[in-house]
Amino acid sequence: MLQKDIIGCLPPELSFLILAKLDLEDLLNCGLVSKQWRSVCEEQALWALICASHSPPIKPAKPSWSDITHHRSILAQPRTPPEEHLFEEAPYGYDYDDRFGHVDPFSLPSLAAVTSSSSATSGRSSDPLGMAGGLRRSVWERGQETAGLPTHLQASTSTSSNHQENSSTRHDPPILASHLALPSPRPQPNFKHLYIAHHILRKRMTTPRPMVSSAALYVSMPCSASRAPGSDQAGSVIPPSTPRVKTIDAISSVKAGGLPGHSEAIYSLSLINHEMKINMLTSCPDCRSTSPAPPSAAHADPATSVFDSLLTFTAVSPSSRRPDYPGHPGPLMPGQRARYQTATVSGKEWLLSGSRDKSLRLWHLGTNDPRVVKVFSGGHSGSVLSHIVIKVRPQRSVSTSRYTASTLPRYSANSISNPDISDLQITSPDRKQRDEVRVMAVSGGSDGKICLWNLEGNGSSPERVVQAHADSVLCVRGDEESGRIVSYKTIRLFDVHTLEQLLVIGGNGEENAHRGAVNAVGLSKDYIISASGDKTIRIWSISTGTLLYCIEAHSRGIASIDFSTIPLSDTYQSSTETSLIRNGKDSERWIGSVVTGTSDASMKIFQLVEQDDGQVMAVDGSSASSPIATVEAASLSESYAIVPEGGKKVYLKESVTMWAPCSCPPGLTRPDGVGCRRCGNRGHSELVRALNFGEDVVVSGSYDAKVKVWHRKTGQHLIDLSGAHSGRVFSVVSDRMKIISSGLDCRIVIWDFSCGLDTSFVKP
Amino acid sequence: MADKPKQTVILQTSDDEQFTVEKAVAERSAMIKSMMEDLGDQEGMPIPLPNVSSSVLTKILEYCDHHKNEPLPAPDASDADDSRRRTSEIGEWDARWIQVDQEMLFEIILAANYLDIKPLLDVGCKTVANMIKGKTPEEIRKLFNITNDFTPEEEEQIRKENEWAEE
Repeated sequence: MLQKDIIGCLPPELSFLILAKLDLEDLLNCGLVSKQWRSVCEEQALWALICASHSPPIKPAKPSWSDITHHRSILAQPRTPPEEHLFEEAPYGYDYDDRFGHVDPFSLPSLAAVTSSSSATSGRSSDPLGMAGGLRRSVWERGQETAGLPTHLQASTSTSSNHQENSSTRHDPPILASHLALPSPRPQPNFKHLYIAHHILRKRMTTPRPMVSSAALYVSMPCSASRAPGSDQAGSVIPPSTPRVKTIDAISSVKAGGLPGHSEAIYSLSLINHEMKINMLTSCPDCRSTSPAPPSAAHADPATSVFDSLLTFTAVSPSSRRPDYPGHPGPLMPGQRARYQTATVSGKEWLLSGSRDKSLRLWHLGTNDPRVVKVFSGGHSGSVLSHIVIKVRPQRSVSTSRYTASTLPRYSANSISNPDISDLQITSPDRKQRDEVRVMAVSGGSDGKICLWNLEGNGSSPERVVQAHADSVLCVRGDEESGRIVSYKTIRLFDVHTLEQLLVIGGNGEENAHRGAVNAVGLSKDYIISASGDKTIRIWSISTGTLLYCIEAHSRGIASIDFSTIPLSDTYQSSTETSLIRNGKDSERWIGSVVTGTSDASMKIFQLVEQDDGQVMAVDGSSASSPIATVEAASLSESYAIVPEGGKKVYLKESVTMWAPCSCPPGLTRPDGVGCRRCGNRGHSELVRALNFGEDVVVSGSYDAKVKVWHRKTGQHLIDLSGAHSGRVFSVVSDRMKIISSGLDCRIVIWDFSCGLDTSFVKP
Repeated sequence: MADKPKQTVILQTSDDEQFTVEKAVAERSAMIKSMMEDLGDQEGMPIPLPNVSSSVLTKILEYCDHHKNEPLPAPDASDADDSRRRTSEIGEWDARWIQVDQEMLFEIILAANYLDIKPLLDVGCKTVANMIKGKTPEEIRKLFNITNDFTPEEEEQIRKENEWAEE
């Protein structure tokens, strides 16, 4: 057979077309064939093509040079000592501990002193590495004793400098950098790095693994600093695929120089990825705050002092640039204001949490030590049960609010708005401000109120408050287009700008209404998806409120749902497409995925499908081909007739059932605490309260204090994250790089899957 | 259509051979199609294809003839392409048709690109990609008769770099 070096002889742009069809493993092998193949395989154009043709396309984030520097500095600081790996992999590290296991008494008067001395003595001559060995161990042991407290803080501050030295002396500069070494005003992504980083992140999230308990992780967090590909020691520092656990709570926030965290159960979380500048009040002189502290106000315990003055935080003017909000009822104590100073915190990664303590708190992520930078309170007189963050374009608000005001004037009496700010919003003469995207939070409380907050604004009180429901607002959802929904037995749709009520579903005992409490809702462009304690999922038209579809999905009440319009990634999507084509229903259009969790701890995934009218098909949850067949599906499926609307039918196809609780007798729990010994059930053991879709996975949080990760396509149980929460898990959010959970124990736990990876260009 | 004599075009290859081809077949090539549209109906004027040899054109016309009744892909159907890009499935007839030696495969890919026949280019690329898939570097070298011009040190260095992606 005639042979020809096809890749080598074709023009590069045609070779790229071939290579772009290969998997990562094959591509890396191609780079080893010859020098010519290698040069083709290293081309940025090839990797840009691969990223673009990935499904969904991998798009780079747009970091600034300072973002990258910042990220690098975080990577260079391992949170905990990579002890295990030093022993296993690096003879060097072993030597350190062996040789310098003793602690020089003169250099270890206190942790703080050691940190400063070791960072001051740079270079290898003066024995800082020796101290690193001794210090690492002593800090480490201390950390284990006080498990549950934010021990990582101590560990990171005291060992970081040592490790920077370690890595600088032991590693060559990485060959595969996350950005190109081109002189340009903004950093250009290295698409090869970007693709591989995505690949690794997905692998980490979707690789089934035995139980990941935080206790084990605290010991074995082998998160070594820089992964240095190609360097001589590349093999010696094996990056961990296990997620890194970080617990943040009231005290850790204060220690990191922030405001205190929540003092009661945390019911809701949302991640914000938006460039924001937040004016933060720094108050605490002897916590490690960025602003200089007045020498007079020294406190023995920063945590308690901040707690004491917490109430006055909201009352004090948050910024020196603006006067106090007029009419604010806050008790201002003279002399106390001197303790507060503003500092501007800017960043891209934020977390907003809502709690039983009636407040919402904004956490600054993207640093080693997340901290609260802003407290939002004064709106709710009860717990904050649910909230969303939504980007609002003010110029649209003018037209929308007019529309709603004229059509639904009767509800305006309900709204109590802050006159100062609402005036500003609607009649603002400043055109620039109108064009800006405002990041708003909408929260629902047990007091039945819905509050609208401007995250970036100077105020810490809500812009608008509406007494929306007579009872608790259990769930708030929204999307950028259409506003938002809240629910409790009734579902109400509100305008996002004005909080005018647009739609009420199930208000006056309509026959279509849910018979039980509506525990959770989802929102798509055209549909409202509601899940209720009456075991049904119902789909409603967002424009008319008509019931379109109803299915009895579970044998018990549904406690939580999540809805996602993000298509399944890569191969999974194509198989979804082919399955639709195979069934001969070309008119079917996939709208999104719905996952449900119930009080009996079972979970199911449904696909929301729209179909053009004209074809009659059996709508039955069990008819859908599901990889894991459900025994009870047939008996459960009690689906209502579809009400066609606009020539379209919409229905749910059941696709996957996650583990339901087994009927095995109690006491069969496996030794590792996960699952049943008889039937292999690895599901939750109690009510599934929180669900969140990722690109490839579903994350669930349950009253059994565990967070689990499931495969979105197959329903396979992938990862068990447990041990970090000591009580019920109320909320779970996730992105490409991390899973964040919160619960009854007032903690927020960050499960970071991006450990050791330069993710500067990875969009969360 | 069947009653009327079929419209034909004349294609002239690099080795000066002339092919009289049914218009529907020639229009598989977006390049020929736009050329015919630009030049208007000039009966008997051969369209020169200086980059395609007669042996390759014979092979490609075989493909075009088989697919002549399929709808032409939209001029900018890159989105639809993308969704199928990663799937390595090739139609049954195409797979049999493209069982050629590597030199011919190379020529087909080049010509498909020149003639702008997107589905054919895709089939050609998929075929090569399928040949490479799952092979070690040494197997790939053997397959395409490539000599390894890396020093062992260089090879080791690249392997180490690749470890990055395989944790």
